[in-house]
Parts: sequence; structure tokens; C-alpha cells
Amino acid sequence: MKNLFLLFLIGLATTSMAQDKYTVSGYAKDAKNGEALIGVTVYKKNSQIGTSTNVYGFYSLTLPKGQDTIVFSFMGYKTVYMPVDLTSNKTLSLEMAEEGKELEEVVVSSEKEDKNIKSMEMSVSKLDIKQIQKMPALLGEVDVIKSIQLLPGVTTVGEGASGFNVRGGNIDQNLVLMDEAPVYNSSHLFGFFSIFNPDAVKDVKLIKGGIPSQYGGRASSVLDIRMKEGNSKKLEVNGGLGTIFSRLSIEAPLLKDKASFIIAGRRSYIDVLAKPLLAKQQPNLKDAKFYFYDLTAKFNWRVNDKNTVFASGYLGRDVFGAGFKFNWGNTTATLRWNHIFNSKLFMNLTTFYSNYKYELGFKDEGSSQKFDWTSNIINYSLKPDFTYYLNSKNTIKFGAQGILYTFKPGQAIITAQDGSESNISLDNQYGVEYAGYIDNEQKLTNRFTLQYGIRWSFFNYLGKGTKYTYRDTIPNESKPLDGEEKIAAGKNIKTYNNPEPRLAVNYTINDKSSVKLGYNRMSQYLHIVSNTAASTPLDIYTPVTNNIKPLISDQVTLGYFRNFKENMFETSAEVYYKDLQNQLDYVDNANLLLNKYLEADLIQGKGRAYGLELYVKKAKGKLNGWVSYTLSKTERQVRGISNSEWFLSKYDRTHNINTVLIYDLSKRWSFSANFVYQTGTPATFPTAKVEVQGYVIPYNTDNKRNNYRNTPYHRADIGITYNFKKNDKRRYKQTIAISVYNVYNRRNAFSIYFRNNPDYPVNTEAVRYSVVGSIIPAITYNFKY
Amino acid sequence: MQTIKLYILLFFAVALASCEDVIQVKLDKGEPMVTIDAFVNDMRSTQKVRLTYTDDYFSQKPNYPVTGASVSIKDLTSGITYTFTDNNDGNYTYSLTPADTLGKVGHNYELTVIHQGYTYRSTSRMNRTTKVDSLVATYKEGGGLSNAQPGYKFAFLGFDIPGDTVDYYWIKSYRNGVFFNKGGEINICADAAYGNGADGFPFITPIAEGITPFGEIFKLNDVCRVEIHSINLETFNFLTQVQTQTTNSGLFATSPENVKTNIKNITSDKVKVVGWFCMSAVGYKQAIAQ
Repeated sequence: MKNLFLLFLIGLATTSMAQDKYTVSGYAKDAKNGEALIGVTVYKKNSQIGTSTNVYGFYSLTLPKGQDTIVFSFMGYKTVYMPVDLTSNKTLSLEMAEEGKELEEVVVSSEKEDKNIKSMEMSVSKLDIKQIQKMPALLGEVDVIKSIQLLPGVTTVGEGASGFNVRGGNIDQNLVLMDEAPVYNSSHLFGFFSIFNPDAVKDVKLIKGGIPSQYGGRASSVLDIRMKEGNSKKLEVNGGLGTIFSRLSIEAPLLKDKASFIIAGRRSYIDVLAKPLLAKQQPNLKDAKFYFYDLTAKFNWRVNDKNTVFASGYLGRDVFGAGFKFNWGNTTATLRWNHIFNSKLFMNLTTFYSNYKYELGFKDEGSSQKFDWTSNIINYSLKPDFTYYLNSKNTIKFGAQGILYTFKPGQAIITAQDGSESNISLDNQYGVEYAGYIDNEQKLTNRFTLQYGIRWSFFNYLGKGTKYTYRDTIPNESKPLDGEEKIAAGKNIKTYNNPEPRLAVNYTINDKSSVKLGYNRMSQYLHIVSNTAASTPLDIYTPVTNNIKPLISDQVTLGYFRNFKENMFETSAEVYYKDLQNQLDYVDNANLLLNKYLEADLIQGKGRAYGLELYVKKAKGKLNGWVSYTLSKTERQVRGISNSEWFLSKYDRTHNINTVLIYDLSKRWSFSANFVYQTGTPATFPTAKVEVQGYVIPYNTDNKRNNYRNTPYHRADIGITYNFKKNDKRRYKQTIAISVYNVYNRRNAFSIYFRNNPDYPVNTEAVRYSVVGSIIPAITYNFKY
Repeated sequence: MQTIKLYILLFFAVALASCEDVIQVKLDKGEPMVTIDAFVNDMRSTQKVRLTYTDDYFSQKPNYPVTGASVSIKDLTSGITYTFTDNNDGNYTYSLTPADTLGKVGHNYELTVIHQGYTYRSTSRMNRTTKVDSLVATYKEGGGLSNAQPGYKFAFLGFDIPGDTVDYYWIKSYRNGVFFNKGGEINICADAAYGNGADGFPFITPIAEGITPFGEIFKLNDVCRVEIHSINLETFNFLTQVQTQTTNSGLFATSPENVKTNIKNITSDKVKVVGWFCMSAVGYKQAIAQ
């Protein structure tokens, strides 16, 4: 820690001596629609001095006095050479035009071509939305999360499971940010579709390792999703009719080049199509509801050169019902203010509100009996982030975040036949998380760059609530209650704090290759409570309490990066080791819903994950895409479970191969294919049967968890996109996308379970459950105006 | 919850052609363990404790009986011991005479099983139970989600006993004397519902209608019998576990776990035993479908 600080001081000292230097700063935007361009490389011609634009398109570069040429380079866009005469600090904003007019070059990494070699980033995957749109998709629905699952180091327990697992982390260990606001459940219809409307997404970045100190609060990864700002040049309408959703988005300038908005909505329509059918065949289901929708809206206003304001909101909901109701969804609202104090100091101030709500209810026809249950997680947050472009060798980032949490684990009311109500709600839980960070990216030499920083996070578990204390007991048994104490509102029950050092090192061997090292410690102050194979929308989240400790992860990553054939091929090999403390597990027969003594049923254990990720990407040309291979192991050890020995976690997959290929045949046609192979997920199989009261119960006499594996998962999908000839008069652009999911009709086992044959109950049998049991073709029509 | 699961499965079946098929799996063979199945009640009929060995999961035969054991239940409150007779088929029975005293609400009982030098022991208190007020049969056209035949669906009316303690019940139902014995058909409750908060209420609809399991019907003149067995929290949890472990399928299956036991080998820690001991008081009624 001391050394880091020392380094930091040296960094500052060496630079303050520099004199006669001036700073060029400004924004880079897309000439076509005015969207800020993220990650444009900005450098002094014929030198190593450079920077890149941040998520708001801002850059700042300090150069010696005199005449120079600044180069702006962004893949898929025409490189801009800008001569400058530096006699004072300058503002230089520009618009960049796309290369090639009709054929949209597929951009795997929309950055300077060798950026993967030179940047500090490792274990980072970026996906361009244009590319995601070309990949074959389940039921033709372009999906951000599904695309993420094709990256190395990312797995899932299977189709239909919500979320994703990064390098052995549970699904709640991913910080999913939509315009800086966290999203708790990123799925529609359990895990089949993600909540991000592809028409409104601009940039997708997944950080698996070497996580910079500006991010915190989750243990395993960051998925940073940036939404479009909206076309500030002209009206643009995108829409489509798909198998599941119909979509429409409208974007337009409010003040040309100054203010614009985007509104994008989607709604599923199976229910509409199924209604007449249901009415006829299943009259008792005619009032069934099953649909999901989401609405994304964003507004931005460039007040002047120094101030820009953004407001964005998201509302999504899944609704199921037929004599019962089962609904869930996220609401987020974000307000951001970009302010440039001077050419070197940039600030973004974010404030957000996020509410994840889910409800369940039953109503008895013809009587007043009913049951209603609602649960929420509500966040309010304030988050200032500063970037200080000290000089061409040091970029300092610092900032803070405060989050106020309200957890409503269950507000439940039973109404009896006589109308009397009985309230079985659980107490709300409150907490405050706050953190401060500072981080410096320092160029030591032309070859050697360091990024070092620290984040210090705190969490207070607060009243009003009940503080429960438990006695320790036999492992894997519910803990007996020792006492309950009512705590007043705002009073502190338990405080945690964790210093989280972060480090990244880049040693550039030459223009084509580099070695990178990353270390990060992350802490997480909330846990998802779920003991099911796939997480359900009903899973509650719990903050850390006096009984539940924060999750802490340490990860070391080492990688070698090499480009071939003039950056035509990018390759990387990375190894990682991750250590996890206080992962949540459950005692046998744990009662997780509406249980005020929930903490008694939770146990915490250790985890470790390690692996090798190999990645080859062809970023350019008609044929592009990537192949990745991951070899990994993820294990847990929990006292009282599986004889207290290490056991495989439920998302462990030894081998994981992903292939994504896209072939742009012509302006009209493009083809895509992907192939996935994954070792089957671990499973607990019985070794014996027990008979009690006529029930035949599967039993594992060794008491081992995850002693078997399901059969391997593999699947291939193909897709074809056809772009209609543009009609000059109407200015419409139309495309038809055809996809075939699971081309060779593989029945992948989501799980294997054991039962008595329904017709011959004496016979026991193993049953494979496949979520997708056939070839799924789909067709989607898209239009753009 | 079951119904929701069903609707969701239906949705997947339609939208994604999800499917289930029986496959061959090679499983390890576990060492046989003694299983003690001791649910004893206060009904004036022959009481039974069954002893078996666990068998390979895929063995297509009933589990082997354990013979030659000695089985007894002692009323710890009155001090009387009731010795069960070995029928040499795994069943150990005790025939009650009308004057017999086995089964008193509020008494504590101790089960002792001695087999091959090991003594297995457990205790259970017999809790109070409530009565079945009436049985109602309704004729249904059939079809629907369960694709049931047309026929009668029975529901019962009854009230939880009001009071400070939570009462746990296991509602067992029979069609023409045959117990509905699928794991998914286990019908248990805490007071009149599934959690706290329904003290003294009439049994809620899913429980009252649960005596006719999903997809089942009674034909004209079939006999429906309902028994409300008093159980305790531990037995409630055990039966929940049995239900979970025998119907643990689909997207939201939980990690399989071994069902717990409340029976201990007091001779040796090394030799494990499975099974359950529970003393129940029973309220019952039967009716003919018409």
C-alpha cells in the first residue's frame, strides 16, 4: 500500500516539472448521428503520446508547445489528421465519418487497431452492437446478454437461466450497469431474453479482471452498458417485427447538435396471438396474461462547451397471470452532468434511482381469499467521478459513491374468506454503501505502463429493523435463535469496510505484442439468496448483516497479447486465479421465502476459481469473428456441505469453446454462424433409493454434492441477414434476418432428475430435461428510417 | 406454487419445445443403509413400523426388508412399552384392542429399534389434531391444463385449532382405500396455510382442494377418505424435503440434498440410518362421490 502511494507521489513529482506544455481537449462524435464516440484513440503523430476518448466521448491530451498533428483513429471510421499550433490550451471537438458508405464494416473492436496491445485493459471484451445484431439469435431476438455468453470465461448453467457466470463468480457478482445505474435482474422471461433493447444500446463492455478502482460493489465482473444518446442530426426511426418482440425506437434532435432524445420500446406479443386459441381450447385460461415489455428513454442536452446533461430512464416488466399473478421488473432513472472544469479536469456526476420489484399473488375465484406478496430493492445513489489529465504520462481518476439501499424482502398479506387480513410481512432492511477511490495510469517508459489505485468501501447495516443473533450449531443445520433486538430507524447495526487495492501493468514488448498483469480485490455487500439451478425472478437479495459477511474476491490475471498480419488477427492468452470468501450457501431444506429467520439458514464458505483463456479474433475483412477456448475449474468449500470437502460449483465447466463467424458476402447479404461446446454442469445424482411411507426418495449415501456431470452442452446456430435495396424516394432501410437456433437439433440436458415412472411407480428412471428440445427457426423484419 | 410451475412449463413447452425424455445414466452403488419408516397414529387399527435396506437407485424392485429386528415404542409419559411383532417381511406390527392405550395426545413417545447389535432411537410427541367437518364433491367437465377425465373433485372443509402454538398437519387422502402416494401429492400445512398467519382459519383453497391431486378425479360411487394427521415442525420439514426431492425437476430445481432423519444410531456413529419417526393424532371422514 505504502509503495503504491509513493509511486503515486513520484508520478506527480516527475510531471510537475514539465513546462511549456499545452492541453488539447474536446469531444469526438459520429458525423452521421452526433453520438459520442467511445474509445477513439487520440495521439500525437509519430509518437507514443496519446489517450482515448472516455465513455462520454471526451479526451484531453497535453503536448509540448509548437506545431503538431493530432491523429484521431477509430476503427470503421476515417482517420482524422488535425494540425494544431499549440500556443495555449485548445478545445478541439470533431465529428468523424464512417468508412465505406453502404457496407457497414463489422467492427469487433472499434478502436485503434493495436489498442488491445497498448491499452491497460486486460480481460476486457467489447462488443459492437452492429456485430451483435448480425449474430444468430434465439428466436431471432438480438440479445446483449446472450452475446456476452459467447465470450471466453463466461458461462451459464443453461438456456433459460438468467444472468451469467464470469470466471467462477455467481450471477449476483456481476455489476450490470445501464448508463451507470445497476440492474438487478437483466432478464425477461426468466433468462431467455435480456432487458436491453438492442435499438437503444450503443456500447457493451465486459470487464472480467484487472478491474479499475472506479468500479466496485460486486465481486466478479462489470458489464458496462451505454445507451445511445439519440440522433442529434435528424429524425431516425428503427423498428422491427420479431418472433417474440415487436420493437420501435424514435430518436431525434430537439436542438440540432445540442439536444436530442431517444425513446425505445418493445413488447412481446405471444399472448395476443395465443388469445383466440386459448379461448377456444382452454377456456379457463382465457384470462391468462403473459407478456413482457420495456421502455428506454434518454435525453441529452449540451448546454455549452463545458456542460452536458443527460437524463435516462428504463422501465421493464414481465407479467404472468391466470388466477395468480407473477410479475417482475426493473425501473431505473439516471441523471448525469458532465462538466469540464478546465481542459484537464473532467467530471461526471451521476445520480440514480433503481427499483427492482417482484410480486406474487393468488386469488380464489368466487371468494375473497387471496394472497399478495411484493418485494423490492430500492437504491438511491450519488456518484461524482473525476478524471484529471495531469500530463501525457499520468491520468488520474478519483471519485466517490454513496448508495442508499432499501430492501423489502417481502410484504405479504393473506386475506381470509371473511375478509380478515393477516399480515405476514418481513421487516424492511436498510443499508448505506459508500466508497472513495483514486487511481493513476502512469506511463513509466514507452514500453511500461502502470495503473494503480485503491478503492475503500464501507457498508452500514442500519435500522429500522430487528437484529437477530444466532448460536452456532451442527454444520448444515438451521442455527438456533439466541435473541432478537429491535433497532431504531437510522441506528447502526453493523459496519464493514474493505480497502480494495487494484493494479494493472502493461509491458509492451513491441508493436505487436505485450504482457499484462492485473490484480484486483473487490467486495460486495449484498447477496442473492437462491438455491435453485437457475435463478428465479423471485429470488430475494439480502444485504450483509451482523450475521452475513460481505463477499470478498481477490483475482490475479496474467496475459500475453499478440497481433498478427498487421493487426488482422488479435490473439491473447490469459490465466487467472480467483479466491472468494464468504460465498453464500444454504443449509439442507432451507426456507428462503418469507422467513424472518432467513439468516439462520444461510452459511458462508470459500470459493476458488482458476483457468486459462485463449482467444483469437479476426477483426477485419469480409470474414470476421472469433474463436475462444477456456479451460477452468470453479470450486467451493462450505462447512457441513459435501462432507466439508471442496466440491464443484454448479456453473463449473471444464472446457468451453465458442466460435462466432460472420461473413459479409455483399452489401445485401451477410451470413453468420456460431458453435458452442461446454462440459456439462456438475450435478448431484443418487446412489440409492429410500422408501418411506410409500414414497421412493433418491438418496446419496456418500453425501457428496455435485458428484456427477450432466452430458456436454453443444449447439450450433446460423443466421442470414438480407438488406433490401434502399429506396431512394422513401429513404427506408429494410432488413430481414433469418436465424436457425440449434441447427442439428441437439437435446442439451439442462438437468437430469430422477423419478418413479408415472405409469409403473415401482420403476425408477432418469429423466433428461431439455429447455430447448428442437430446432428453432425464426424470422425478423427490421426497418430503419 | 405447483400451479405456477405448471403454467410456466406450459409456456416453455409451447414457445421453445422444451422436452423431457428418459435416458440411461450409470450410477454408483451406495452401501445399503437401514431405513426405519415409523409413522404411528392413534387410530384403532394395526400400527406398523417398516424396516428396509436402501437399494441401488435403479433397482426395479421394492427395497429389501430388514428382518429379525426388535421394535418397540415406549410411552414416556405413562411408562408403558408397546412391543411390535416381526412379520418377517420388513413390517413390524402392533394390533390394537379397543381398550389399548397407544396414542395419547400430549404424550411423548420413544422408538427403539435393535438390529444386529445396533440400537436406533428417536422420540416424538403426539400433537393435537383437528377434525374434517365435511367433504364436498363437485362434478368437473375435465380437460384444462391437467387434461383430466370428467369426474368428481373432492374438497374438504375444516378449521385449524386456534391457539398460540402453530399446528402442523399432514392431510392424507385416499381413493377407494388407495393412498395418493406421489411425492408431488403431499399435502401439508402450518395452521390453515403454508406459513404463519392463518391461525384458526378454515383451510385455504389449495389445501382443501389438494385432497384431489392435480389431474386426478373420483368416478361416480368412488370413496374419498381424508385424514388429518397432526405432525410437528420437524416432520413438516421432512415431508417438505420428501416433496422437493421427489419432484425436483426443471429450470428451478434446487440442489439435490439427502432427506434428514430424526433417528439416531446410539451404539455407533459410523453406521448411519435413514428414516423418520412421528406420532400423529388423526381426524378423518369419508364420502361417496355422487
